[in-house]
Amino acid sequence: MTDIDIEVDPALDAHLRRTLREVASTVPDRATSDNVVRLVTVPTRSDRGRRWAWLGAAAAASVVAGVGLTAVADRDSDHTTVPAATTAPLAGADPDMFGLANGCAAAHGRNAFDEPMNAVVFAPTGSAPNGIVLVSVDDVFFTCGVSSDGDAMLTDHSFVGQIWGNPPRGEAVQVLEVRADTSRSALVGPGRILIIGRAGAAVEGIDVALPDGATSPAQLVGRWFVADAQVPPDVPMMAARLNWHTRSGATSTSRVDLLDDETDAEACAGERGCVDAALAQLLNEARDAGRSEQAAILADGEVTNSERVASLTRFADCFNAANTGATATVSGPGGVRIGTSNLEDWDATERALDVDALCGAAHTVFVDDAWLLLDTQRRVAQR
Amino acid sequence: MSAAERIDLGECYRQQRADLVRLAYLLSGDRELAEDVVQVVFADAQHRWDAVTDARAYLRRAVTNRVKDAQRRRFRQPVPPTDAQWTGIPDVDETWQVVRRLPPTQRHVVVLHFYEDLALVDIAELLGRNPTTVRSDLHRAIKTLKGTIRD
Repeated sequence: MTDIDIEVDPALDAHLRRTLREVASTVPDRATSDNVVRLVTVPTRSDRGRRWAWLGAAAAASVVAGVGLTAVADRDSDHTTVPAATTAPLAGADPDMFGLANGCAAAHGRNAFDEPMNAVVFAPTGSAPNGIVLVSVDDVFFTCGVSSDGDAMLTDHSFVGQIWGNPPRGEAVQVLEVRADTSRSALVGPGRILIIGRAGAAVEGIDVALPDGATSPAQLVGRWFVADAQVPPDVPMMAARLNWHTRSGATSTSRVDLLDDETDAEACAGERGCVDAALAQLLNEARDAGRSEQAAILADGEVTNSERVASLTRFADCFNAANTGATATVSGPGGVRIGTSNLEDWDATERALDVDALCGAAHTVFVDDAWLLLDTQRRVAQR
Repeated sequence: MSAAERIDLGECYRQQRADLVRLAYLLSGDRELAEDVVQVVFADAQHRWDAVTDARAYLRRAVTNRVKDAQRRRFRQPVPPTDAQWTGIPDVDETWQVVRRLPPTQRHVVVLHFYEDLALVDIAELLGRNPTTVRSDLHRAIKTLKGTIRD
């Protein structure tokens, strides 16, 4: 004991040590040493010298990251040109996540160098050249292909998606982005679904389940997870599910929806993708009209359009019968609009309604969906 | 420590990440914050790792400082609910609830002293505070704990 230490009652001393040990032991290790997702935060600044320092940091990050991937930045003539210096291979740089992040950001039209940015590269272990990685730049997510020579490149088919319904309540679960790449269409494989997100501490495992019964466990590092599902030929990608397994043993399921940026509502008539096009149309209409008070609720993705309309009608009837002060109107297979006086009222409506209890029998329609969609609307409105 | 003896960062990550998350959790009382803090600490460590001679001490200091910073930013946020059973051991859970509600400066000293087994002079150095202030914090924390923990 040094002269500044104080004497603590031995019983209390022992009790405190035991308490802290026991509590600490409840914190599990969610990282597996050999399956660590490459997750590298690469802060950048416009200052050239400092940028090089961070380049070194990104290179060193591979120590934590694991599997090698020697990607360097690509240049896209339509967008920002990445300075050649940043594409130079670094001694020991494996992978050059910095180059990849910047190449991807540049390919997507974001100037990675004129402004500070925070880039995070997500590449599931085993991702090889020609694979797809996710890159987040200032919280905007891109998919990026990695060519056989290690260059970052734009993916040919990229579908922004959403997760609908039923993440474990009470947990800080947040799915940030869903993107899929497929050589045929958004609707069926072969393809790939990548989901990135942050899960609450109570979430023990996450997997993507496909209609053919295959499941792909997500890799967890800290709160981040990356789920990477290869979709076999002819398997509907729209029917993918995201399963959340909590420490309590409970499992809840969310639906994975893929929205094709290029989808045209009329061109896809008769296909299930129309539902998503209809949703996109609803969002656009709401944005154009400034109707931020409207929320749309999607129905389950495994039903036909007519079944969906019927289901939504049942839901709307149920909703309206509840006299919440808001009015639900079926606006086609894409969803139900719920008119409220303003966005803030929606939270009160949601709380008062308890749709799961009230209308859950009508069909699998979740208020969570509407809440997520409100978020989408906000994002749309901010663009 | 020579370069040859220096532990590889990746190896260090695998060996120490879980322990550091536990330390961050005890310091913060927030598991998600703890995991975020440790991830950031390792990300930050990458470009200064060559200069690190005592990995454990460096990482412990970095985690502690990150938790302090995060708690400063969260100053106005309410303490998370405390009705959970953390271990299922009644006297342990009860004590942890009291520790968790200590002012951050006192809690940090308690955790570093009783969990990390650091002497007060080392805690003072780690926290960048006056040793007598640290001693006073521990004294106050002990007084609170004695007054609220059942025999």
